[in-house]
Amino acid sequence: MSALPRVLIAPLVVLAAVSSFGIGLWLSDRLEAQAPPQVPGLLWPSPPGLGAFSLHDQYGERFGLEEMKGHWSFVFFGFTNCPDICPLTLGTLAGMEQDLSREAPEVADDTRIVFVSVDPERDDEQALASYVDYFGEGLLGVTGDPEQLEAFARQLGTVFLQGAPGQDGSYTVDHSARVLLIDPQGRLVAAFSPPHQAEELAERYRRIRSFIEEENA
Amino acid sequence: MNTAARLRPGRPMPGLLQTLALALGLGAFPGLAQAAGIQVLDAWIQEGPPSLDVLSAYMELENDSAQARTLVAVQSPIAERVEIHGTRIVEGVARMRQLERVSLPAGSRLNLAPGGMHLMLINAQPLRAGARSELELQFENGERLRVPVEVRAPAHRQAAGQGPAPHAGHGMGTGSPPGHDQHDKHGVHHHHASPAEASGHTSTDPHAGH
Repeated sequence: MSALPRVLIAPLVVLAAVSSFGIGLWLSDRLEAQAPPQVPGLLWPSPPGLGAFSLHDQYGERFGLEEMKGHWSFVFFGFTNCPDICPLTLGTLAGMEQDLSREAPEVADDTRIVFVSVDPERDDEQALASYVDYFGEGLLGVTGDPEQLEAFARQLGTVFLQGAPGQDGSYTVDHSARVLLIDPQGRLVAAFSPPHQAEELAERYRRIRSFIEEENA
Repeated sequence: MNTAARLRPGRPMPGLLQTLALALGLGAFPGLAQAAGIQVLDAWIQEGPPSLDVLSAYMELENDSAQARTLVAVQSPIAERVEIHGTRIVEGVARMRQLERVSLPAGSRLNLAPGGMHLMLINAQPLRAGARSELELQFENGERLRVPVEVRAPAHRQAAGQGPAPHAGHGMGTGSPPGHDQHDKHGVHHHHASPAEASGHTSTDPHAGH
């Protein structure tokens, strides 16, 4: 210490003061950024990261974690022979996408709707394609082996259960009515509970998205 | 809910419709006149993806009579069979269950709406928005009621200009097609002035006599 030339002490003190001020500013900025928005359904501060999974889409293309990443994805589980809650929810999501395209096209551009059929027995690629096409262009319909579907659903904290078939062999599938939001890093960042409303979903999504994009910046 | 409707005496319209129905020769269907205590408001079928052979129908049922009624079956000329279903969301999981019978206590009102109770048309012909069909409701006491139904596109299709919007003034984003907001218009007090409303308000089928 005594070896330090007296002439250097003053500049060092100034440097220390400036850097701690800078660190303080940076910290306060970080702390401010870490206050998550009060959005129902947001899973913060520990959004679960998805592990590998292997499904396929309506074009027969592989749909796994790599395909999921790089986009914001709204995920809904259902089956095409479900005439009430599934069209209701997909219609709401399609409405949300229309809202976004009009009000925030840059947000809509990399937003995807993924319908996961938990009824692979009846929902082949053709059935999936004509079903999701009805709800809008660019919708993905995915499904896979029961084991893969189950593993994927479990990762998203989602359950489904095939009911006992009736006399004519028809059956229904109980499934989660929640809409899940996956960020481009493949993290489950929000789980929205029903009833769903298009404008409300769009608003929540935009708030969550700008918060996470700021976090990542 | 709707206490006022329960206490209100019979309204003039069913009588008028009955008279009209009789004049049109509907006397040949005795069940129709006898079911006049049941009002059906705003019955519609949700258009679905063309490849799908299951459709959902919705309506509001009101029992104006002093006796309880029980809906036990529904028939449709465009479907192999119709089931009464209830969707319930239990701890975030949607469960759809068939209901064998639906009670309508005297003076009660029951709303079959998306995300709740609905009629599921099985092995149905695909219908496009704007098409019309009918449903026959069958009650436990043997009464039958024919209800004209209109096919409506979901809200997102109308916003995208892909389907006719028979009723204006419906904002996008509720997930339910236009006409749904008619429920508000009806509320407790019913107005029968506008032809549009009269067409969505059924106690008999005015087309059956043709």
